[in-house]
Amino acid sequence: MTESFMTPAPGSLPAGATERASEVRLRATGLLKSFGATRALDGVDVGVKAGEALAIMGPSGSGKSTLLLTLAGIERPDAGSVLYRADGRPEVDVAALPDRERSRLRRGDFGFVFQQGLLIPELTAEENVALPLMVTGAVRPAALATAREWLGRLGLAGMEGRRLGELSGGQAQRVAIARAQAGGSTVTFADEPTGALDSATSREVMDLLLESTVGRGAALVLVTHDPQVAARCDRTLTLRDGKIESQFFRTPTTGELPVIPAPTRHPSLGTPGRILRGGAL
Amino acid sequence: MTALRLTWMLRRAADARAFLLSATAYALVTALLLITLSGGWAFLSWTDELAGAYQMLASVALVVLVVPLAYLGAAAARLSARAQDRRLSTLRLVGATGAQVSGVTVLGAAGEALVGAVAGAGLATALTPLVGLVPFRGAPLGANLWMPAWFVACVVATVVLLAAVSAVAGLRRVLVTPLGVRTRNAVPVPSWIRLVLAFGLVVAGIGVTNSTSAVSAVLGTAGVFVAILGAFLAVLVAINALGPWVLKIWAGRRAARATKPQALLAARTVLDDPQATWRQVSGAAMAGVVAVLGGVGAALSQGIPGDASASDVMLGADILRGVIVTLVIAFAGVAGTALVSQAATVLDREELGRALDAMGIPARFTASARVAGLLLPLILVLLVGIGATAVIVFPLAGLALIASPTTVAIVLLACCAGVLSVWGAARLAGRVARPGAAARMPAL
Repeated sequence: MTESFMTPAPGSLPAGATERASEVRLRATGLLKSFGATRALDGVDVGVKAGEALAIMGPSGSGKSTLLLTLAGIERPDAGSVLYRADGRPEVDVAALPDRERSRLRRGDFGFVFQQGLLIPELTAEENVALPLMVTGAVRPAALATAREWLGRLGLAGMEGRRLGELSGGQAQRVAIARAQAGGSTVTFADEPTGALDSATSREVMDLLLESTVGRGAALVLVTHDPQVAARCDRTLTLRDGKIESQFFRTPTTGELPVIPAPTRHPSLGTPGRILRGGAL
Repeated sequence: MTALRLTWMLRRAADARAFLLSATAYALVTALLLITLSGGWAFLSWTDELAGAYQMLASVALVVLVVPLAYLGAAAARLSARAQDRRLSTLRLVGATGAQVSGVTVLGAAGEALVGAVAGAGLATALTPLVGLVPFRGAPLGANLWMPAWFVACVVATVVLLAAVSAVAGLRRVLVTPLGVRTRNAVPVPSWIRLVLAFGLVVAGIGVTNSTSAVSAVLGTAGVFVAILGAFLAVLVAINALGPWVLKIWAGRRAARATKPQALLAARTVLDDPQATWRQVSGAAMAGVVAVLGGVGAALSQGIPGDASASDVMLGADILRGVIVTLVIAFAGVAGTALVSQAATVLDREELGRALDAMGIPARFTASARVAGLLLPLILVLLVGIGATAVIVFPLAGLALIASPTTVAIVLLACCAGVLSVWGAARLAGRVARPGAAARMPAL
């Protein structure tokens, strides 16, 4: 197994994670973005800390997806900056990086969960998780071992060889979560990750998403229309016409971004041992 | 509301890129078909004592070219049907009757085929003077290639008719319900049936070719002519029955051993639908068979320098020219099929492609996996075609190599050029189907 994707067991906080929880991972300032005559982002300032779950809400066309894409370095803003800080590396402005560097950053540091899962249909579940690791240079046996470990922890033990057509919507989304986390991402971006699921499966998927991201000290940024999903996050940002309309903190703060303690802070996640069968908690 | 009116109303909703692609495919298949037929037409105009031999060879070439051209036509029809699926479910949801949906499907496919076939006829007409420069029997084919307008119109009508029939057949494979359109579960043909079928056809083919004197006694020369063509056709059917099965075994092994992510994805793509991959590359297997048989024939006719008569040398040169023309048309068909099928894949996977790009997996990675998933099976079936035929005619192949190594080298070079053209078409497919500037991430 290569160093590049040696990640702590999902659900377990790595050493020093609590201290790092106060570190700002992403800080965007003065974001402006227009599509033709439409102003999608109009001077947005937002920061995301390590171990924090940030929900972005707002009506259709409010700019929430554009904000997510800009924070993730997929869209380049017309003005403003998106500073990203990783452990042991100098801070970089994601918006100013060349395409190749932004791709490398997304591949190595960020994880993505899409509304429809968007797995590669020809590959098995474990190969879907292992493929991005192999693209970053991991050898196949090690990548597959990591993939199996993550799938097992997300309740998919025994389903590693199944393909997309043989998985339910919830199972496919769990594979997508494993794919996003297996590389040890520090920030995970999710756009309506439960949008295509029924309410029971939606709760289950959110449990796993939170546990596998904030539960190990990583940040989670998600766009949702569902207030119940947003309520599970530490902070909810509401956009309207490309501007921040309101912010809601789930815990009282002193004006600073909240410091995220150990994952037991999320009672709704249930007993970690129940959720993460192979978990180390 | 009539199906014709509905089709007219829905034309704007159609994906312009998908329409252009399938119309281009119909244009290619019509152009290649007309050029092939015009060659046959020119050969039929000869009536002297050597005409029979040339007409026999031309018939074999036509039989060989049926496969890649049929698959190119099928690829166009499949792309056309796929592009219509979304419109069909919308139609059903807004209350269109089953008959209206079928009508729209058939009219839509026929319309695309008509546009493409007419363009293809124009292309063939433009190319005919160039093809006419190719010499056979010591003189360029020239004006002999021109077919009457009614014949060209019949070919165009046939392409349109086949597109409509293919659309109806496609409808039989999907369930059009008020809840949308979905594909019926197809029952795959078991591998043992393929094996038995292939074995039976090969035995029948060998039996027929070894009993030409008996066939001649009963049915005369024309009977032998038909019997040999039939035997050749039987071998081609056998190859088509076995091909997907061979690809499945090969891809399974590659998937298990792949160390590079591109290789894994390429092998899994083949394994996911060996039949689909076979449809794209089978023309190369036929090309391999023709390359060896034709190459050997040409080399032996030309004989050892100084040993062959002038007429033998001319026949050998003509066979070689015929082989090269057949290879060019066969590989053009394969390249066209590759272009259409690969572009359709890229269009189908647009959202997944953008998702992978978001994850930092560059488009060139998926493109190289896609191209490898086509090119490696192509090279495999070409080599198997060449190898198997060379083994069957081993002593003759050896003699050919001694008699005229230049001829053998030319044929092999033509095969390499064919592979390169398919590679180019597969690469081009990614550019043709590249999303426009307006395309954005729909769900991240």
